[in-house]
This record gives sequence, structure tokens and C-alpha cells, in this order.
Amino acid sequence: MNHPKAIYLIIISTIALTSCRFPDDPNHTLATIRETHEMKVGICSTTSKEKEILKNLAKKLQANIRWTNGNQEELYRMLRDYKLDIVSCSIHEDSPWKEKIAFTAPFYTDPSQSNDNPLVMAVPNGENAWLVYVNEFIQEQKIRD
Amino acid sequence: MSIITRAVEYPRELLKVYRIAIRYEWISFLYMISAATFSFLVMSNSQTMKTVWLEDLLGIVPPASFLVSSKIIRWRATVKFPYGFHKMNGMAFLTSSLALFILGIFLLCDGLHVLLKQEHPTISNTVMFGNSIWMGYVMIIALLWSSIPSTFLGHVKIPLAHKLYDKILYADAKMNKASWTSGFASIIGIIGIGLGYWWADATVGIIISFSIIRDGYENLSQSIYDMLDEVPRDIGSREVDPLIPEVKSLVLKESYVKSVNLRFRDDGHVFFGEVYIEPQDKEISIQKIHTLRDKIQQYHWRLHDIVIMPVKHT
Repeated sequence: MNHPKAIYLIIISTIALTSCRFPDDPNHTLATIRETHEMKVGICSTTSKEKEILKNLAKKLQANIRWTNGNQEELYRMLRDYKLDIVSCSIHEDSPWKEKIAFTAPFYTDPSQSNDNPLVMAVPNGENAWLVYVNEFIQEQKIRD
Repeated sequence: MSIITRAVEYPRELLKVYRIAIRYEWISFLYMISAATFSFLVMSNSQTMKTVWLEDLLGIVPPASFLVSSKIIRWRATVKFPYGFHKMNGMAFLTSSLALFILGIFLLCDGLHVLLKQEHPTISNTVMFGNSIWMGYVMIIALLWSSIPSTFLGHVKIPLAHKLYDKILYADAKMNKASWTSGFASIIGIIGIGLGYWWADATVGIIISFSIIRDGYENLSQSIYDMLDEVPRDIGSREVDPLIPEVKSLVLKESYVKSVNLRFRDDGHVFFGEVYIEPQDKEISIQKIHTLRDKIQQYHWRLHDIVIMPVKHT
């Protein structure tokens, strides 16, 4: 073995990395929900379809939902300050807030609407583990329907 | 004697090398377009990839300037342009080094903006063939494509740049060679984001930007000096070109020369120069001047257009 120290370093780092969640949340949103069994949800003029999906998501996480009502801007601010985990407010995919807030994958397209503008939900910016979890959940729901 | 400078840029042996260089710059040009396209598609909403995309986009400029200038410098000098079009090379060098410098400044500002505004990068996932893949992995692949072939191209182009005395090619090649470090660092940045360190990528971006600003500044200042007809320097260094003292000793070998003074400027690949001779006698024959002029111009292909001027005192 020419460089045993380097090889040990690589092995140890690999083991260390695999025990981490990848990608992770800078603010530990997903881990917190799992530990506290509470999912903080923001809603406003939300359809029953959206509420249903949120309830299913909470069930999967074995968490209770704490509902917060408000208007869209208030909810976005709370989201930005990590006071909410997810916001569902009949947000359309082409919302101009795309730069400031992280949007999930589209989960529902209202057949009654003439233009094809799917609905998305909002999660805090940068919480990549949480975002990927929700997206994968939405994907599962779509396949099931 | 014609007042219009000769069109010949390179001697025959170097023309082959020039053609090879042009071919590699075509490859670089098309490759940078492909890298920019790939990173654009992978961009999604990530600030990280937007930076990579802009780097790739600006990386198209040096090979493009080289290719454009390679066409124009071959044009024959005319009465309207008696000095020919060699200077096109200098202008192309100015353009590409300006692009480099601006890129470095932009990356620095961008990285600082993300850090100061505490903008956590959101990197989502995508669904391909029914599998969920984190976009970070796709970005890493895009970064590998942007940096690894670039490094190989850089290694090949540097010796060509030295042979051809081409500053654009040299600057472009050095940038390419270093791209594996910036690509690797960006990959570390994305892995950092994956591990929850939202500041990783912006920090790496800032570090890389310093190195780009330094390279850009060196090349930009050199290109400005060239435009100001600075004394020609050896490529890649600030040493005065060794050809100049060589020409001086060549002239001093002539028995009729008492002393000599030289003034040269760099016009792209070739030198234009004035040689001021103080002859031993009061007069000097025209034949001797012509012979000396030919001798100097044949000494090296880069000694392109020499004017010999007999003077009273040098």
C-alpha cells in the first residue's frame, strides 16, 4: 500500500457521508418534523384537494398538522422565517414568487380551468431534503391516482 | 520599394502548426457551446448553475476571437491599410481578456450577494425514467463535462501558443488548463450544499473568482500595453523579448556600423521596427542598407517589417 493514510481518510469520509442525509436541510426541516411529529402548514382559500394531499403527507410522516390561516404574503414571510414548513394556497406553477420561494413539483391541474396551469405548494428556500421528500411524495400520489 | 507591408504572417513550417491550432480552437468553440447548452438545461432555478452557465458562455469568447482574427490577419495589406491587419490579433486579445476580467468580477459580486443576502440555494429533484434524481448530481455531471475536456484542450494548446507567439491562444489555453480546478471546486460547493452547508457554493465561487480576476487582470493589462505599443515582451512573462538584443548584436556585427538603436512594437504575431544606425563614415550606400534589412527580416519570421534609418548620432 503506497498511501495507507489517504485510503483510510477516504473510507472514513465515505462512511461518515453515507450516514448523513444527502441532500440535507440547512435548517433541519424534515428532521424536525419527524422528531416533533408536527407539520406546520399554512393555508388560505385552499381547495379540499390540497388539504387532502397535506393530510396524506402528514400521515406518511406520522405527524399532526398545525394549521395556520393567513393571506399569501403573510404565509410567505412565515415560510421564509422557517415558522411554517409548507404552504398551500392555490399557487400556480408560473407564480412570480419563483425566485424567492422554493416551489414543489406540480401536484394538481384543475380540469375546469382553460389554461394548463398546474398547482404547486411552497416550502422554505434551501431546505433541499424536505423539498425532495415532498416532491417524491407528490410523485407517488400521482402514480396512485 | 513597396510601402505596403507584406501579407505573409507565418513561415511555411509554422503554417502547419497554425492550422492545427485553428482546428483545436474550432473544437474548443463548439465544445464551449455544448457545455453552455448543457449547463443552461440543468440550470433550473439554481443560482449555482447560473454562474456555471455564464462561465461557459464567456468561455466561448476567446476561441471565437481567435478564429475571427485568424481569418482577418491573412488579408493582404492595401493602400488604405498599409500596415496590414496584423493588429487584429491584438484587438481579439483585448476582447477576450476583457471578457475574462468581467467574468471574474461578476462571479465575485454574485457570490458576495448570495452570502450577504443569506440566500439558501434550492436544488430540487427531477424524475427521469420513473426514478427521482437530485439535480445536484446532474449539475456535478454538467460540471465534469465543462471542466475535464477543457483541461485536455488546454494542455494541447499551450505549446502551440508558444510556437506561434499567439497571446490569445496562450490566455485561452491557460484558462482551459485551470478549469479543472474551478470545476472540481464547484463540485465541492454542490456537495457542500447537499450536506446542508448552504454557503458552500457561494464561498467556493468567491475563491474561484479571485483566481479568475487575477488571470483576467494580467491578460487585460498585457493587451492594453500591446495596444499602446509597449516594448515587446516574451509570451507569458514580463521579460523583454530576447529577439531585440539579438537583432542589436546582429547589426553591430556589420563593419560599417558605429552604433545602433532599436525601436520595436508588437503587432499581433509580428514585430514592426525601426533600426537607427550611426555609420562609421559620413555616408552609407543604399545597397548596404537593403542587404542589412533583408538580413534582419530573414533572421526570424517575427521580424516582419523593418525600417533602417541612418542617423548622425544614436
